Amino acid sequence: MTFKGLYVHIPFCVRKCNYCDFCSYAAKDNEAAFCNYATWLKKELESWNKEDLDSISSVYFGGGTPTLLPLTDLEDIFSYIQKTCGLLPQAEVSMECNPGAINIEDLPKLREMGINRLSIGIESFSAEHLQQMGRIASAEDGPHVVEAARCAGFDNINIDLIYGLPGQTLDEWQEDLRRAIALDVDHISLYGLSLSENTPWGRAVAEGRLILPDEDLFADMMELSLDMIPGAGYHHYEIANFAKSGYECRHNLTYWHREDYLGIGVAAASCYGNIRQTNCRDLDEYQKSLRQKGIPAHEKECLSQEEVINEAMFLGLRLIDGIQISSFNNRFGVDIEKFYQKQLNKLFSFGLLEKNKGYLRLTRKGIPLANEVFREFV
Amino acid sequence: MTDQKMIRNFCIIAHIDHGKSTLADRILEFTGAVSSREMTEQLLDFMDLEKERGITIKLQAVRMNYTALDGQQYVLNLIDTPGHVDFAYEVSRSLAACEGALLVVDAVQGIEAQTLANVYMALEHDLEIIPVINKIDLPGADPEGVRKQIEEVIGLDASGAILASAKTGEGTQEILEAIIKHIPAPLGFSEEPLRALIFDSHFDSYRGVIPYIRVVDGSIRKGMRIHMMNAETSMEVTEVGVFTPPQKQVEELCAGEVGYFAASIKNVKDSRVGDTVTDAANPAPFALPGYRKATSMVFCGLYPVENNQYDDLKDALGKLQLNDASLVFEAETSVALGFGYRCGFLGLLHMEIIKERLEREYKLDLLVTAPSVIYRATCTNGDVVYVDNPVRLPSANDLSHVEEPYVKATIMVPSEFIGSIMELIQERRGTFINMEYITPTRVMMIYELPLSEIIYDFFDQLKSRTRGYASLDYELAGYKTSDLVKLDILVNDQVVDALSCIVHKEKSYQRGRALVDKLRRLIPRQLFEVPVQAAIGNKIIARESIKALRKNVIEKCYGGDISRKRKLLEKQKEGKKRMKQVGNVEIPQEAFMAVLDIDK
Repeated sequence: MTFKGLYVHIPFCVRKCNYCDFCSYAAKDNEAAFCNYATWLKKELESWNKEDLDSISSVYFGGGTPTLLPLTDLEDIFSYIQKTCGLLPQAEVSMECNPGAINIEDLPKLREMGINRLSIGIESFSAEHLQQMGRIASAEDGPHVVEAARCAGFDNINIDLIYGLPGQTLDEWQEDLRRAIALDVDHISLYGLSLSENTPWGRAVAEGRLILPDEDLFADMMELSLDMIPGAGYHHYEIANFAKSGYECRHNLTYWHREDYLGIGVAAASCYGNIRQTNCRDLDEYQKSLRQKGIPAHEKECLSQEEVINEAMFLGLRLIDGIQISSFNNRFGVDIEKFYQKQLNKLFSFGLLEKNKGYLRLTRKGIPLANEVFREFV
Repeated sequence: MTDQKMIRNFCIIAHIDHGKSTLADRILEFTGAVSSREMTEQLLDFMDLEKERGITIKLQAVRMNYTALDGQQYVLNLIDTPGHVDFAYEVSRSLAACEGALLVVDAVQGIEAQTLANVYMALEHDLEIIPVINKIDLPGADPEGVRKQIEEVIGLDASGAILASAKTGEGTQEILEAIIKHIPAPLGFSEEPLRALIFDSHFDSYRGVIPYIRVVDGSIRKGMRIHMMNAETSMEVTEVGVFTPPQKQVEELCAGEVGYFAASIKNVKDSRVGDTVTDAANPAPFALPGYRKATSMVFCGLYPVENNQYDDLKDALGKLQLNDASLVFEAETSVALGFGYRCGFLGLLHMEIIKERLEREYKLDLLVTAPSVIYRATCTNGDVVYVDNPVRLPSANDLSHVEEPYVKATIMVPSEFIGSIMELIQERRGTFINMEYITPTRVMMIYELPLSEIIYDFFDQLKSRTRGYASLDYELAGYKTSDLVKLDILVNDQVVDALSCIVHKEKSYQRGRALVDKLRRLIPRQLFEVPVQAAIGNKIIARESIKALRKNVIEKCYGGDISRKRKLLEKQKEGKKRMKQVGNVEIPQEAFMAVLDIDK
């Protein structure tokens, strides 16, 4: 196997946001782990065969808040990655950054170090919503960091925004989209708020203490995004992602194309061949497992060929261009039009899916209803 | 053979929570039938369900040996009775098997409607009643007040009432002595032909149905050929025995004794509760009085969520029926739900118990339609049709009139709640019969009500509007003509037969609107707009529409954790699977029960 992408999870935050169910821990409460984390990551990477890592085309530092780690630790990890793995010359190296937890002076250093894509979690331009969300950044921090990143030489910048926030109006969201466009970044990710029960907001909604926008408003917000962002020259290439031409996130495309990638760090997920595995979510367990067994994988699934094809379908259909039928058939040795005849006919008849120039893709109607489509392939 | 003089057969009458099972446990312990070590809490309640609900559903019987203070050894048979109004007939049969009863009244709560009904039933059977005032250890216990209540309300002499605490064991010996002293010994005729009353049974996979009997006259022994006088079937006895509580074989059971027998009875219908067992070779001229077939009061449709569980459902119902002759079922087909069974129950509790047992013990995923009573419809041509499923109500053109079953309900409540009760009764189409102050602060109210108005949530409402103080008992009071109509529900312009219900005309508009509104909220958005309508005949009386689904997409990337994404999709799919596809519309299970709580 040959990994195309490498994901590095940094599970530390200043504090956890009210809606977040990603794996992260407050740095100040986990000092030992925080201090040793770079060493652990190196150890985990060490356990893999070098040959499997010799043509990496994307590295992604996600979190958590990667920039919370001291710059020296980030340098240490990245130089170890460069030493151990064969990074392709034009490799995309992304790092997530929280505008409330980054030292502006570090930005040139990060760029210099080899990080060539910055993904800035702005989430909202409204001070009120940011505060409600439990974000540590102020409304000014986001745009400020984007500007500073440009100055530091970052020519591939993404911003994340979340919509469907409690009490958010369509006008407010329109304003957020305007501000996003005005920043003239290279890539925009827009995520509708989805809550799991084990978050403060998830519990509040379940108990009726917090009211989310209703489905119609939520849908209107998505529709508005699908009009405004492409209207400003961004190419809508994946359900939640928009990019200026050539700035599509290569690392995330690895996921949607169902290519092999390795995830290291707490809770990181990997995929190779028909295997999917996830590392321990707990800091102590991760470390213990790493020390005792050399590998911190905690859940490992071996998928059947049919499950692999199912996944390739629902992942591939996330892309707005869809799935190229012939190359899909060649790759997996199936005839998907026959194999999924029943499902496809149903989805065609509901107007959620269409066949166009040898591609299967979501229709315009199907994009906000994509789960209705994906569900046919699990 | 035990000398009848040394036998005492008794049961315990008590309201739920007044401590019947705990007291039974103390008696079992005291007589040494069960050591306290063996005593899992409340031994007589067999099924888990009973323990959870704190009520007795299935009767049990225990034989105990007791050496009384007079130095003589007695045989005591305790016959347990179910504690719910649904099972009134079963109660009457176990009372008929006894000569006496302990009336257990909670020293804090006092007499409740259920207790009263059972005491009256016991008095009808000429049972000697020993009042026991229980829970005297509780703060707030008012034994004197309760003693007075027993005298005033029931008219029993309670001067000798025993003060007890089943929890601490206080009073247990006094109770046992009172049983010996006051409850008469059985007076059967040992030389007469066999007559034994079946008061319960259970099914054993090896020995068939095991009837529980009280021998009234004569005796029964292994090898004897017996005859069921009402079922008119005969079989050979393969075993007789007593409950110690574990079953223990004996040579024979004689007049006055309580026990069981086995006779390779395959079908519980051949040994119904209340039937009389006699000697086939030397039959008794008359059966014991009081036998009747269990009548189902409440009906509902049971459908497997997964169509392929249809046969499993049939097997499971058959197995439950082996133990429970009061459960009836027959196959039915619903346009909306496919193949299932229309089942008849003694009451709503009985229905819930059967449903839970099917789900728990047989792992079935079931869809239950709203319960219905049996309506009696008279057609213009004079035909009379009994309607246990609203779908079968003849069309309005052919109908002369419809009658519905009524009950006489007795409610006992502190007088401050009279107003709340009257209001509730008004809402439920009840008519006032009588009201009586049983103490200066407690009243007994008697009403006539349509059965259909009390089978849903009447008891819950009663409890919540009286802060739990009201108690209820009811008995069937015949059929009465009512202005009833069939209310149909259309989803996406198709009648969903499983949602049809029969309602009083005056309530039909309100109910139609409430139902449609409820369904609008229960049925999730579909890929297209779905109208939901309520109709009487061809006339639409309410309409709502469920807007088309607009957004359902996971946008998050989860850092490449695709398994997590897949699991979310699988969960959604699982949720869909549990819905019923009616036409193009997926309807969740709760929707079919929606009619139950639209008034809330």
